Amino acid sequence: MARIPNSSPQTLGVLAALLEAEEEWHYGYALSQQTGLKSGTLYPILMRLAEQGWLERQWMPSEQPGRPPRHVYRLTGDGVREARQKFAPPRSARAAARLVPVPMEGCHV
Amino acid sequence: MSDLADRIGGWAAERVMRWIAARAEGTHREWVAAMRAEMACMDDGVERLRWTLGGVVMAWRMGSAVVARPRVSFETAVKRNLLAAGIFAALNVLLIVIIRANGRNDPPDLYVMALISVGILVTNRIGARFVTAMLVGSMAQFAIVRAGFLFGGATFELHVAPWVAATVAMWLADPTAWSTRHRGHSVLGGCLCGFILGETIYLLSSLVSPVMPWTLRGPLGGASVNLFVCALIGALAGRVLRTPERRVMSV
Repeated sequence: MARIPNSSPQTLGVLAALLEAEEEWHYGYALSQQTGLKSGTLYPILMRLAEQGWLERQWMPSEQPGRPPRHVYRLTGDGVREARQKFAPPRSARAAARLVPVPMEGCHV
Repeated sequence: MSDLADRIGGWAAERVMRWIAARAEGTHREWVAAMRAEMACMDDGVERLRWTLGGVVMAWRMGSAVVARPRVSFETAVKRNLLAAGIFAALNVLLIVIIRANGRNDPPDLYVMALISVGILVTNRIGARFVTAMLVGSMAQFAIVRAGFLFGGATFELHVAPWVAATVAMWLADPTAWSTRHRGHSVLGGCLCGFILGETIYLLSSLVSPVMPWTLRGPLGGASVNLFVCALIGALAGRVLRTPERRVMSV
């Protein structure tokens, strides 16, 4: 069976953390603490998301003097859309919701 | 005490990170630099070390990632592969002859180990991982030194064989040039294949050579388990030790 990309619990955790403040830039260390992922798990996920165009990154000067610039991340437009889809209720549930009879007023057959 | 741990942790983290950075290639450099920058923002040395150890895992994954390789002419590719396989096979034969002639099963002499190392370096530094596997295996398995050597040789040759096959396949598709991709070798694959092949060769060799002083060991005996563990350690160590230059050379 084909694997659905970016659907591992770890990746979903990262996506959720990025979606929480989608406009803001996130630090790797903060993401690691937020998701509970170790750097060895987190960074390959970030790399993959960036390769797929879901994640944009840039270097930002460190707030602490004398420290090197830091890499920051946020979801791209595509990334936000795809990530939201990941957390959207499954299609079958949506379809079921559409099938719920709705009382129709003023409609006589 | 915690201050000392902090300092040691910070020092070790910096060393490890530098080591990883030296091995990163292409776009991976940016990510390693990102990890390094994050590490620099941490005040706790132990935390830094923990963060860096994740970098080792990432370096591992980078090593097994599919990376585009430069195009190499067919002749060069064949020459590298066949030369490597040939020299290594010859070394194996030579080692068996030496060991048999001595009629002993004590630890391998240093000159034999050096000979293997030089042989491998000559063969375009292909399979540094397997050299390590072999050395670890043979040193640890000095009680059955031949099995250790055979294991190493077989592991190596087994991994050279796909390259040769890929070379031929690519040549058939495009005779003018051979393009390849780096083959990620799984540790488990390397260990299991080497283990099975080494053990099979050892078994066959024991069967056809009744004059040999070594006792025939069962494929599932303690020695096999030891070989497997040695293979695992060796392959892991070799994987970590592999440098980008070696990877490029192994095309």
